[in-house]
Amino acid sequence: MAGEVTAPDERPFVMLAMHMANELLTPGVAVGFIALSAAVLALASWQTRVRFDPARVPLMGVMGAFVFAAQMINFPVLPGTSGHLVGAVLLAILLGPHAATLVMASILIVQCLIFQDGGLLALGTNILNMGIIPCYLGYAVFVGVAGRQPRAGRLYAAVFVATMVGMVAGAAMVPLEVVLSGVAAVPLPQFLLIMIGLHLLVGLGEAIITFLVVGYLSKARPESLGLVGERLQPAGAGLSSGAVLASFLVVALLLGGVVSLFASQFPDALESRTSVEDAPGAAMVKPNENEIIVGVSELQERTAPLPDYKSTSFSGVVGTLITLSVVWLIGVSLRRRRQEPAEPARE
Amino acid sequence: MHHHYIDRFAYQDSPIHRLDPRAKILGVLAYSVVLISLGRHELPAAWYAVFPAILLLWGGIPLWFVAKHTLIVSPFVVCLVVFSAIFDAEPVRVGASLTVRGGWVTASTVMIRFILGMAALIALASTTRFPELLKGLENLGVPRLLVTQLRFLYRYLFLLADQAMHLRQARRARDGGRGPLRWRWRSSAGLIGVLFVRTLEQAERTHLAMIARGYDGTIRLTRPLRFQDADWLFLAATAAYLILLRGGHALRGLAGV
Repeated sequence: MAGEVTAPDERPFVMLAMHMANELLTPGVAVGFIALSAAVLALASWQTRVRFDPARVPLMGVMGAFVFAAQMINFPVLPGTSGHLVGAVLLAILLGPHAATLVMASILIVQCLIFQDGGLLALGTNILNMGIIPCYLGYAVFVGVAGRQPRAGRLYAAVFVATMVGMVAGAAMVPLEVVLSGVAAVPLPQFLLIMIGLHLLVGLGEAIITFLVVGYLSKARPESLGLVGERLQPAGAGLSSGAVLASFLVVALLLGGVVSLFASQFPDALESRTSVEDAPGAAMVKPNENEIIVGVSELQERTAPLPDYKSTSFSGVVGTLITLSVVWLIGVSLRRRRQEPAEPARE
Repeated sequence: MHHHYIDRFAYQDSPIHRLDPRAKILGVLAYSVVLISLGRHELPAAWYAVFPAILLLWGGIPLWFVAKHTLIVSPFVVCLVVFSAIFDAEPVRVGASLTVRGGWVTASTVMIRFILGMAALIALASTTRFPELLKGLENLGVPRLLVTQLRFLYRYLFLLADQAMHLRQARRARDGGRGPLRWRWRSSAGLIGVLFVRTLEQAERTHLAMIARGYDGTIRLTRPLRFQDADWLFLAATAAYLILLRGGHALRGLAGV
């Protein structure tokens, strides 16, 4: 599931996508990841050719279109915000990891070439983060947890864990790639925690909707779940509200952990600052009196958006939140504007 | 949903539209590489805007379209860049006497380059019809299976998107866009499931129809790609321009030493 602000009858306006831009990468890192993704894709297409009935090749292409279309069916998350399926783990469960990776790669290429979501040179990282990792890792976890003929409870647990692990692991790659490039100077731990925290929430929605789709298909069209070699035969797929509650609880606990980890990043900075000011004699760190440094830090305090907070990680969090809300507001206003013009009449 | 919704400008005609897709792909790729090879505190000179500007203006692509698309895909980069600006306090000298926080320099250079890179990518996408773009990619060595896959995706994207819109409209007619959250999630999942089953059936029918028409794994374009003088000229001009841009930097660097 990806968060977004949408108009009810328009193409979703994706807000929370994690498509990398070219400009956040250095040429070396970009080329490295393109080579890595290309190698995995070559492996995946070889495996697909070995395992897949050649008659299924059009099916794979049409599956890519299916994911695009399925992303148009949105469901409410917060007022004014709705989510849609991402689909990587669902595809991996339905088609197997090799074919699913190819389909996701083709989706990401089309998103890049037609919708300009993510740069041309960033395709390597994007295919890795949103295709290869969720598909392979998600599938491995799913098979590991679900076993042969899972009942509803176990199926839900498998989908839940697989989606979470796949999406969070993919999202966690973004900070690593950004820091590896070193274009944007972002502290790794904080960025990592933000991405993981956000994608725990995204993963929860994705897990529920993935399970509901798998459940629907196992009832309405059980043979469609057997496209991969091993046949998946879930026995009944009603979702008990207890299972959903339990997964909310798990996510809340995980989020709590992330938030407290995050919190532990900055109080020491704040405290040490105040203690030095309270007792100047006991200062461990001597203030640097160098002219340039003093000048720069004054300038910095004047230009900083949140000059009161000396702790950079705290102002970083606040700054990010402010940016996010500004972006969100822009999205909402775009949505309002988009709602007004009626769809042109069809001839 | 119709084709012209996203790539309507690709079906116009202009000298840029008539260029071979391979020439345009290579040009835009090289331009993007040059853009990201600039240092993180290095602002691109005004000359960097020339390449996308020529493609867009000569190709007849309205700039509001470029601006709108860039805005739509920018949130992630904007967030990251602001995040970076807050953390990066390293002082950087800009011009002769001005010293600024490094983060803000990085933020501006990344944003400027993002806009330029987007403009070039949009120029490529909206002056080249997608089937021809794919043919170009195939001839440049992208594996056949992946290209076939992309071709099917594109062909069925609009068909299935239409179906998804019908399903959505039907649901809206029944529930008026209201109802308990649980119910709406369940109905969304149901619609996605229905769409999946329809996709399977569609793929089956498509495959039969293709075999009936003699499909043997390759798709033939009625207009085969041919590299013409204009394409060589475009590539040569782009190469010279990019070398001048980067070389200019190197020369100035030498002069500085």
